[in-house]
Amino acid sequence: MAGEVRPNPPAEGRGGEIFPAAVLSVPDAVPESPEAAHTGLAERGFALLCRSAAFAVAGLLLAVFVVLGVNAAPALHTFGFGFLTTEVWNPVTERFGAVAPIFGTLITSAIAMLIGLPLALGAALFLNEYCPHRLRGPVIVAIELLAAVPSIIYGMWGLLVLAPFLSAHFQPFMTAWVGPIPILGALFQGPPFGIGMLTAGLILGFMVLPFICSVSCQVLATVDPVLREAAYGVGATTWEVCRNVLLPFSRTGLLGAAMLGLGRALGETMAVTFVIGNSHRISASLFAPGTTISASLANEFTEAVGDTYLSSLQALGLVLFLITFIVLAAARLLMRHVERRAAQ
Amino acid sequence: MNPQTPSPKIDVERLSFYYGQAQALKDVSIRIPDRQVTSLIGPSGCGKSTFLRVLNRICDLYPGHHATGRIAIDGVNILDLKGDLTPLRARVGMVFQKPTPFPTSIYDNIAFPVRLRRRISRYEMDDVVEKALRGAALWNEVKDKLKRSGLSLSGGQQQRLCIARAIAIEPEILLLDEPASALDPISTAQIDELIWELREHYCIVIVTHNLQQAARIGDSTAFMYLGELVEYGPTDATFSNPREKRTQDYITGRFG
Repeated sequence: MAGEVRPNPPAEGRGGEIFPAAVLSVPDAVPESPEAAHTGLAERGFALLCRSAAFAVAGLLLAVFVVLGVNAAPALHTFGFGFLTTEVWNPVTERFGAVAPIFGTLITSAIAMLIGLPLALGAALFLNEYCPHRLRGPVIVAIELLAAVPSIIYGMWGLLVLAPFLSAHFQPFMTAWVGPIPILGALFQGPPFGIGMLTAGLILGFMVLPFICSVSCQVLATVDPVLREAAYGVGATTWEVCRNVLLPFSRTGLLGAAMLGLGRALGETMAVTFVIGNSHRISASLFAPGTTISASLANEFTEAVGDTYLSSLQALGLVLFLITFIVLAAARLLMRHVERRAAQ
Repeated sequence: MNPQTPSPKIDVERLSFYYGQAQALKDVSIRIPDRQVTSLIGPSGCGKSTFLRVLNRICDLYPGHHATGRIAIDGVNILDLKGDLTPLRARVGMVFQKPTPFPTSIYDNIAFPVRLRRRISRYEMDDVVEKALRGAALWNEVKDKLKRSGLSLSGGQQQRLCIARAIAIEPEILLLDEPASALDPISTAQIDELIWELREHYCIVIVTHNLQQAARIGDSTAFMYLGELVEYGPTDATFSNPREKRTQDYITGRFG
């Protein structure tokens, strides 16, 4: 080989010295055999199929957005930006404002996350670090079954079991003991109906819990066992390993799990409609009835008469769409920020 | 089987270890002296790493793993310990094959295990961190970026960070499980030099696939094969004049 001038040296990384140069240049020189043509066709067909699937999904999203936008246009035209700042929702005078449902959606979701997130994380850490291995499988299956319970069942349970209980025990207790405290007390005023923002938030919390928990479990399980061993190896207790190693290491994944739960809480309809009281009003008290965007839509769509009413409801849908989009985008940005800081 | 040890730091008698049904260690007896480097060599799967993992009972993290026999550290059988194992693990530090920095800053990587043991002021902690990093020959490279993530360091630096972390809590025994196998030759040489310096203060047990490394840094060398301890003695004797044929075959590269 030494001293020889090779006519067509193989490109770097294409197989080096193993194959003679001539073999490597064959695809260009020889016309495609029928077999190769067949493979090429299958390859192209498959790529086309995948591409259309991806475009279909994106197209669907765009279509929903456009339809919502077109249908919401009359309402937005009538009320302008005031749609987002008005609390009034009066079908008789045809005056509509989205403040109450937006407020309800955000508050109930916040309560849901406040309750669901710590419980879910705690359960996930227990299952990963403390739970005896024999118990682990059955508990995980139970949690996943909880995620499979239809939301209407949660709604019925909330209305028939949780609301009477809250009304009889929890709400009078809170009004009596926390009520007199300034500022904080304002959250726990008013008659104990049982149904209202707090109940809806609680139900939502129970509903998002299994989702967050099962995803968190999977995320925590991906932490390299060697890293766990190293942490235990320096004499850390289980709590210290969780706090200083497992949680920081899986924070982006856990944030993703939380966002999945939040997405569900924002959009959940049936269970909320059962227990929130459906009143287009804003109140400082968590015991007061309220409404969310999806609950309003579910309740009022069938009985909406008049173009303005119908259009206003669709404008509400558009707002929910945008809220979800903004929340998810913010989560993405936060995740990227956290990752970048961690990589520094 | 004992080279030059009046009272060993670690005295292992008839240790057997099982992963469920599979036996990974068979009747291993070995006396490991303090303030020396003891190398464990042998082909993959011979039980070297398993042996290390029993010494600080990291193996207890997994169900179905159990050991029989006796491992006395300073005369106390650690296989009898019940309940909280964290004091034992603080006394017996471990460094793994793959660098395992925690997902925090360089400073916190070292401060974390120290904080678990002692409540000390920020000022004292700075001293402890510096001392540990100097001890692991890493200080000059990272002193200006202690706030940076431990994951931002190179592989060799990460491994020295892990050694710094292990020595920060002042263990008595240091277990090194192929600490240089994932590193380039220069980093390996740095680690070797470091181990050589650390032997003045610690009882060091190192598992290695690299026979030259074992020959360079080990005061004593033990050869393991299929879960058994085949031969154990001063490194010179093991390498130049092995008693067992299997040892000779392995050292001369006839298998493994």
